[in-house]
Amino acid sequence: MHINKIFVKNFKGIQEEYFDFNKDINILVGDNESGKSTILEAIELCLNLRHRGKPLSTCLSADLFNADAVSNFLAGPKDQGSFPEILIEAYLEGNNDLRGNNNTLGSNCPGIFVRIFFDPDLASAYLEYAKKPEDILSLPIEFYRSEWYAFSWDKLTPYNKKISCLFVDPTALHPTMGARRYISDILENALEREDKTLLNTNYRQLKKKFDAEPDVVKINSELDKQDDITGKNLEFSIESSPQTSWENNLQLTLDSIPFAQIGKGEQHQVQMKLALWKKSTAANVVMIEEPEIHLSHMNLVKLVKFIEDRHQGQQIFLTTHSSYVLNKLSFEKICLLADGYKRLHEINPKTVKTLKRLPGFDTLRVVLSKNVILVEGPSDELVLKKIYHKKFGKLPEEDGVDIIVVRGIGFKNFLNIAQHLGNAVHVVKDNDGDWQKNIIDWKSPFDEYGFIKVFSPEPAHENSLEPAFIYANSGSKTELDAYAKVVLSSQTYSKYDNGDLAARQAFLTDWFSGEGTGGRKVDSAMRIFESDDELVAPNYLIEALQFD
Amino acid sequence: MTKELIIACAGAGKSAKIISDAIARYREQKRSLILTYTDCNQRQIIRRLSSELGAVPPEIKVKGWFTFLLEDMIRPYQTCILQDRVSGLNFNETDPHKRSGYTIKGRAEHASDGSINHKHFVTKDTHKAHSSYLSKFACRVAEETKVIRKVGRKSYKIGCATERLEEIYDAIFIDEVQDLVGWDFDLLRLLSVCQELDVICVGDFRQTIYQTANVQKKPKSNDDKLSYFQEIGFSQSSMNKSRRSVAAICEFSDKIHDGLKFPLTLSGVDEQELPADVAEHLGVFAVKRVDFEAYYDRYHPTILRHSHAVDQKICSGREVFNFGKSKGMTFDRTLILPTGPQKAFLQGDLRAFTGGSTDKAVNAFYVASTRARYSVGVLLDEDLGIDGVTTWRP
Repeated sequence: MHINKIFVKNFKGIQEEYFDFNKDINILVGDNESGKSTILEAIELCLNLRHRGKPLSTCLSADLFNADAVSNFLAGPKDQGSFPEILIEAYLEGNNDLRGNNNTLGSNCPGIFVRIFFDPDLASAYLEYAKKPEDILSLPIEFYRSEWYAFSWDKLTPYNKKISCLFVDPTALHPTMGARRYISDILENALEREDKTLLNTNYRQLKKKFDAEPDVVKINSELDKQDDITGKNLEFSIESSPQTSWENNLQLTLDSIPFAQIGKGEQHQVQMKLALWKKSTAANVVMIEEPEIHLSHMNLVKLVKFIEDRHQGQQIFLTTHSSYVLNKLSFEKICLLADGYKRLHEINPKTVKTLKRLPGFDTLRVVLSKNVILVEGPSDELVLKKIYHKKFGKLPEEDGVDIIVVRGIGFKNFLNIAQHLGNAVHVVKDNDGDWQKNIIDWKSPFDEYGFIKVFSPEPAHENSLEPAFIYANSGSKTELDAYAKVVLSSQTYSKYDNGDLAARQAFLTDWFSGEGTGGRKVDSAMRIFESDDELVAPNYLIEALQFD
Repeated sequence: MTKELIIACAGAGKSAKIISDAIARYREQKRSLILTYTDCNQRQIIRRLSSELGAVPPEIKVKGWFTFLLEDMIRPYQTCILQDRVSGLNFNETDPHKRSGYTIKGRAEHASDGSINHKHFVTKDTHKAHSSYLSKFACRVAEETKVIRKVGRKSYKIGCATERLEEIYDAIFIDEVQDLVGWDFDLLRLLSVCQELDVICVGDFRQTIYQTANVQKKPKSNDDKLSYFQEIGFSQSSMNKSRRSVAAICEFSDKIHDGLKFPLTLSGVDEQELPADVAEHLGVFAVKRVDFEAYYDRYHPTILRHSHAVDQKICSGREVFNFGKSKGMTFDRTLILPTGPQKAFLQGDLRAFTGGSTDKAVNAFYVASTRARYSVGVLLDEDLGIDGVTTWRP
């Protein structure tokens, strides 16, 4: 059983939108405040009728409503028909008992919906209350009620709903929420029914044993011996009302240390692993917020491996800001929240495979930045930043222009991702001595994506960054000398040839070419970055920094 | 796939058969839906299932006919007729569209523009579905949701709901199928074309007392219903061994529907095995009113009557059931307080029940006379003309 799609209306940051999901893993990615958590909360509300673990009835408040919808209501006539309502629909697959076409798409499939709406039974009370509509300054939440149905329009209860989700939320582990209640939720999902029953009966036995302990019996027999307090039998006993079941009184310990006392990282890992631990009784849908929180990189690696190995048969939703999690769990599972919602399930499988093997690359930055510049190496990055800073007085990232060094996995894997996104991507690439072959022909598979542009000098002799710089600064000997002074160490500069312009160009070109000159290139880029001297920037770099 | 009609005599163990079939399917991990007409029968089936299996497993659903229509055949796809959720049922004793003999305006099935008028099917404000139009409602939802199933050259509008049933269940059992009428049979026809679904109907047409709806639509009579089943391709078999009653009672009750050629009822009770104090009084007896007290003190029969108004002096303080209520029940001994036509029948008039507009009177008598294991007493003043009924002497 899994969720194919949800529809969310007027819930928190979402006004009205459908979201499609993958049936196995969904990695929600987006900037802060882009609504990743809201989607998870919507799923929880629809599948469990709970918000952040608490029953909806206990936490129904105006905060659940979309702020725009509320202000539209407050600006309007405030009549019964204008109350905003929350509607969340989950379109499912796998259990036809829940099937019907009572949903906004009219689609005939299994599903569940929750609706929070103005209660028409309270219409006359509202008329009384709303005699002066201008006095109503906030959403009158007291007049709302909720309903919970399957698409077959069968009423749902927590017992007949047939699908459940578990929200693993590290932020919920604060003292007032109670780690116990949270753990009991998780155990609820992780334990087999028989195990639960056994724990429960054994716990009851324990109470009986306590009452029968000689010391306890003795203390009780001496309590109120003279019947001064009451004529009835006054005794100490372990609380045994049905509400205080084992779940509230048992605690989880790790090496005898109570769960609440262990480190946050460990707590977090244990929770997530418990959620994915057992298949038969576990929740159909497991939602994990930012699994990377509190974890060292090595622990994150272990956890992601655990998720990879254990998720079969469950649908996983997780939010992340970690490229590692994203690359490792499969890049194609990304659900992007940027200007609208987008899944990247059609990404080139080769790229997905490469990223799984080499998960260390900053792929998330390509996804999240509006304007991306892809460069070959750190020299290009430094020089571009310098040029930008000189022109605008600040670094490009401050304007949302993200310069990413593609390194080992190369431009193509990044472009295979970028082609599905539509963000402006500028590629700064060496022509390696053959502009037609290495630039024009190379780029042609991406020609249909207008937002992907490639920048490179055309002349064959300007085959990489350094020659391009040399020729850009060859207006005169003085100009070239100024360039040489910046990029060369003083020791090298002393050897700098004093011949004609061509000879000086040749010296510099030679200096940067050949095997083992990588260090020199980075050093000189660093010098350009730190220098205040005026150098002429090659045109293709200036163009690469211009975004519409 | 099986499409079967099983005609059973009273006491043949219809429900037991359904239960054991459903359990056998459950053990093969197949899902069954058991539909009954009365609440009492539904509770009994649930009780027996849970005593066999510990609890009713999710693979076996037991529902009443109306609940089934509402939850499975109407609500999942009702929006083609009504946008607001059908909130529940409105039980109709009589036609809800008539008031003191006149038809209420605005209740016709189609509005003037030809669209379906939901007021034909549900109450005005509360949107409760009229019970007597419920199966018609279900049929209309099926037609409107446009799922066509072809069988041979014929095509049927089976609708989304029927298709959904096929996805959920492997078999549907309908108990007390004799109580279905009119539009219910149109739904049976839709189920009959579902290749993936076994449909097993069990009933005793001699016991039709209630009906799901009071409408004019056919089939209404037993003959019509039986031929309808034949027409929609149900195979027919019978269960004619009563596990309840001794031979004399079976023989007597067979005479009540003598003209209809039901197979003879055999008794599964071994009279040799009965204890002597039971065996000394077996069969059907006329009990004279003057002997009532003596008879009652000796045998403590359960009294069966037409209605509350009958012989209150005799009934008060004693275990009594109306004929209709006693359906499905078993007692050791009964005493019937006969109606006029029943008396006439007992005096030898085998056509005493003909002439009524329904089979209800004759069926009620059949139900009453098949409740007892050992003896059926009939309270009378006059002498009798029927074979096999002796007058009891104290």
